[in-house]
Amino acid sequence: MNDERLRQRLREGDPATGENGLNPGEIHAMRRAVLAAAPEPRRRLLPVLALAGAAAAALLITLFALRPGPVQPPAPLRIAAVPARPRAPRALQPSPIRTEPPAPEEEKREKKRPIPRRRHLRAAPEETATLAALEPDGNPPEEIRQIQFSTPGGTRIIWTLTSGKASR
Amino acid sequence: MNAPLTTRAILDTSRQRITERLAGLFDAHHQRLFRLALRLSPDREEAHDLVQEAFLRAARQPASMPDGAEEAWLVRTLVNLCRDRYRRLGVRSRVHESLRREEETAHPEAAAVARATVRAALARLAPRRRAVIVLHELEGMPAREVARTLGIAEVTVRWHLLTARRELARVLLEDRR
Repeated sequence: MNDERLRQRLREGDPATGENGLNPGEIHAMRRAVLAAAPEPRRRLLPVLALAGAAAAALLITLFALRPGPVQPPAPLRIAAVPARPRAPRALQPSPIRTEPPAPEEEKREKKRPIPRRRHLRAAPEETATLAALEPDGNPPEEIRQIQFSTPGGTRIIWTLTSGKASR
Repeated sequence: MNAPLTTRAILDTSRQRITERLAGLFDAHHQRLFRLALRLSPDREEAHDLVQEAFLRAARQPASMPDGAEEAWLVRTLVNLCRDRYRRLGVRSRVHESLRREEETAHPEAAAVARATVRAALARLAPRRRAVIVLHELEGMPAREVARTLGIAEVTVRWHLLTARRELARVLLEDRR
């Protein structure tokens, strides 16, 4: 009951009842003020965006400049090779080392030759043979090469390489 | 042929869109907001200022207004402005209000007396409670809608209504006896 009376009383004395609202002049002025207060969108952000873009570009350039280049493959192993003399004359003139029978003292020295030296001498020809076999050309030229080794004991080893094959 | 898509053109288009939205909001809601401001504020000038300030806030932060709920946002802003003003000018406005009330009650016209009485009674309420009772009793808004508009719980609205009715009844109904 009291609520109804109170509502009635409030509506009778509603402060907005006697008012006509805003007049056209007030509306126009207020509208103009409100629309003039609208911010310029993102214009304030433009300098910030430009700075951010410049910083990103500088970072990218620095990264590209400091990036390591492509890894270079190691230089191929090169072994000195001497062009061989023609095969026929060599066959006709056998090496004096082979023809002369070794002295008994020399034979003993050869038999007692330390193993590490022999290993060392055997390792190099394999590499050379592999390199010869890996020639990029599909049809290797008929070229004869000789590789000569000499040991401190006086022994000479001559390898003849023909068409990718190694022969001692 | 389309205009070239420059930064200036994009900004101009964006600004134009914001301005159009604001103009639409102002045209649609300024009368209703002014009426509400008249009920919440002690005089017409203050109601005018409150409405303008609410729209200015909308203009400065257009992105803060959710699409489809602009009116509720404006009402909430208006009520918050009332609260700020109440806190800032609390004592002075209450003294001013009591003086003005005495002047208006001396007016012979009965309607003006009733308006002055109701306005004075409403002015005694805290701003949020005043907004709740005005929206519910004078604007006919259901409690749920009031809660949604002001961003508070419905139970809080009901509690404000109960308390406000009690306070207003003490002023308005006892004065008549």
